[in-house]
Amino acid sequence: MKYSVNNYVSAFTEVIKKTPQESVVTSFVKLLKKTGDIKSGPKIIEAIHRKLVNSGGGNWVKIETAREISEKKNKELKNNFSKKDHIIFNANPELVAGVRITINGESELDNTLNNKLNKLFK
Amino acid sequence: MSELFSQLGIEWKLLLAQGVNFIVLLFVLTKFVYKPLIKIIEERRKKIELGVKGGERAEQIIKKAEEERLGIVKEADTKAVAIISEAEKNAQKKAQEIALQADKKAQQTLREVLLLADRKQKEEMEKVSNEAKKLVRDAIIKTVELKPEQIDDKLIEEAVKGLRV
Repeated sequence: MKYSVNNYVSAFTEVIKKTPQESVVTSFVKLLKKTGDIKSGPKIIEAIHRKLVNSGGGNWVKIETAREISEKKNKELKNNFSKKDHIIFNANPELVAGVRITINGESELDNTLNNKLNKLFK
Repeated sequence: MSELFSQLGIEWKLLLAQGVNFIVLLFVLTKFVYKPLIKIIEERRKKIELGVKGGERAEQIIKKAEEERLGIVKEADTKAVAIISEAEKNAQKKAQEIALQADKKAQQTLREVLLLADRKQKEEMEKVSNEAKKLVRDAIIKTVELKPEQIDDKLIEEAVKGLRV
């Protein structure tokens, strides 16, 4: 990468405060193409999204389960977070069973069977 | 006087001639026989005396040499005994050192072997333990996968409670 993800995020969030959103996005995509960092586009966009959510007072919440969960459980989990929070659901069979919740990529609540088994058979 | 000689049947001329003959003969014998003979005898005596002295000297030398030889032999004998004694002591010391070293080495080898066996046993135990853990873990996972909903629900409920806290 020519510039780091943090550099792109800082630049984008600074510019978007002053310039109309649409033109900024178009210019930003052009910049990514020009620098050749378009390959890391999804990563950069996610980082920008996270920054915007955080600056709006919300949290970036990632909820991982071993398989798709019911709507009821989905809502039950969502109800624990504010509307400002951005929640991503993800299925990860490696977890075996249970749920792992990561907030802003830092704090983690790991209540998966995989984690329990790892602790048990350490 | 001449009458006396004639009565006795001695002719003084003949007597004189015989006397002269005797003196000549004495002179000749003294000059050519007696003196050389004496000289030869003297030389012979000296030689014998020298030989006797040489013999005595040689005997003394031989005696001295024999004494020296005996002394040397005795000294050599003493030295040899001391050397042998020292060598025996050294050999004993060396043998003790070798035995001690061999003992130490044997003990060290034994310790290493025991350590190795212990390590090997621990490794085997750990291997068996890991395999057992893996088997149990796999069995639990397989059991859960047969009917995962209940476990899922339970764990999610726990997580929700955790979030509320």
